[in-house]
Amino acid sequence: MDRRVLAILHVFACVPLSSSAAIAGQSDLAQRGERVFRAAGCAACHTDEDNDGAFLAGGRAMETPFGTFYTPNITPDPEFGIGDWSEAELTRALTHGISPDGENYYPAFPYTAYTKMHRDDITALKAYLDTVPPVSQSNRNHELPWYLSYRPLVMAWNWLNFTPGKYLDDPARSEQWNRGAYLAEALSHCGECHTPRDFTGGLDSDMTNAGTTAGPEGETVPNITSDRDTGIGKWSEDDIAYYLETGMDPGGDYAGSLMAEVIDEGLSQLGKDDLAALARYVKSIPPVHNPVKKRKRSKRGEFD
Amino acid sequence: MIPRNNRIATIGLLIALGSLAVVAAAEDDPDAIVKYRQGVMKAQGGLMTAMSQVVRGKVKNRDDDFKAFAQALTSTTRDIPSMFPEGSDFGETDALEKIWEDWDAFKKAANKADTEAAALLKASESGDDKAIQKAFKDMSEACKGCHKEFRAEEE
Repeated sequence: MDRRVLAILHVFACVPLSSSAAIAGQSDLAQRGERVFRAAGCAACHTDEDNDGAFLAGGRAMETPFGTFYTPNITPDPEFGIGDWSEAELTRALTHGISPDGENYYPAFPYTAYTKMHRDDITALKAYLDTVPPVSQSNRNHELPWYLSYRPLVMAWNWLNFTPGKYLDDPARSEQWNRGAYLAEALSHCGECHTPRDFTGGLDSDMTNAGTTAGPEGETVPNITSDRDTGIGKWSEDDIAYYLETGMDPGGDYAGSLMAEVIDEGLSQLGKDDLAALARYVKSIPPVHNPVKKRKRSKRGEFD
Repeated sequence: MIPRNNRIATIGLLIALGSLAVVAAAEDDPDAIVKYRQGVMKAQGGLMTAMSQVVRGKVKNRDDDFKAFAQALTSTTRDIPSMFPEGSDFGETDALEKIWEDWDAFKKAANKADTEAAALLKASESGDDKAIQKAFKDMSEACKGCHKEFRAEEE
């Protein structure tokens, strides 16, 4: 059998088929890029699934305490998407939050995490994004309070809350732990939702991954530190990996809403090794005692 | 011979009693129905936890249990939408408003659990490991699929 046929068979054997199934004959680089793409959770935000939007064509509403953001089109469409971006431009967007026109993105886009990406992962990601069907759909303007439309404000925010720089391996830890840490901190950006934010919208570093009631879209986000009472300290590594793959927690409950999306669109497709690495890292997150209270609705029809 | 006025009173009383019974049948205490459905969901979670240990190959030789649990799941998933009456959207619930805004979609997602539970029971009776694995995964997807759309993130 020639190598190309083998490669194609390999694709079908290893990559779960999804709406964006790896195209037979896709380059090895693009296939690696798809793994990066899945781990980074791009699809969850850049596809408006609620309204049956096209894959990665953007338009998904992201409600935050700072206003409503609409995610942009990241298909290779040259006019409305990112088809005419160079790799250097994509790298700058991901690692510094700056558009090809030199504008600052709002940190609703987690460049604060992607700044840690390995450069060869960005190369692979670009190769994958170039294989996605282009969609000619224009971007929708964000709905923000007037003072936030002043973009230099984001530069001030960055000065306060953003440290650019690649992920560096911790030599004291195993290769597997470092892989997990890289996945969690650079790609899957767990902390962007699971860490509470201060009044400027920056992450509260003393409370890393300790959960919050003011997550994206007003969601309650659980404490995923190793605290035994208020976090997930009672879960085994295997429990964590199984949860990230299937959405089922050790009590037989299933992930809901945003986490279910993150699992469906990304984590469930990472493969056993990466899930085990993620679980190893998550299990090692230092415990923070922080009970995250449920919202209680006192009146009918009163949703916050 | 009952005087006519008394007959009218009797009929009135019967109508009143009858409508009371109808009201009682239609109106569950909303707080209680939330507790009720959470109890059912917990039971399902317990069954899924136990079965997942078998499917993951961590607990062995429990085929009879597995069948019994799959059977139980066909009971608990029988009519999930009926546990979400209008007005049961407050208190200690993570149910999203979308359930009542988009009832048809909710019904479809919730009833998938019923379909998949039946398939899981069938697979467990066949004793074919591959079929059981697949049916369990489908059951799992049904739970997650409905939570994804209609339930807030748990704490």
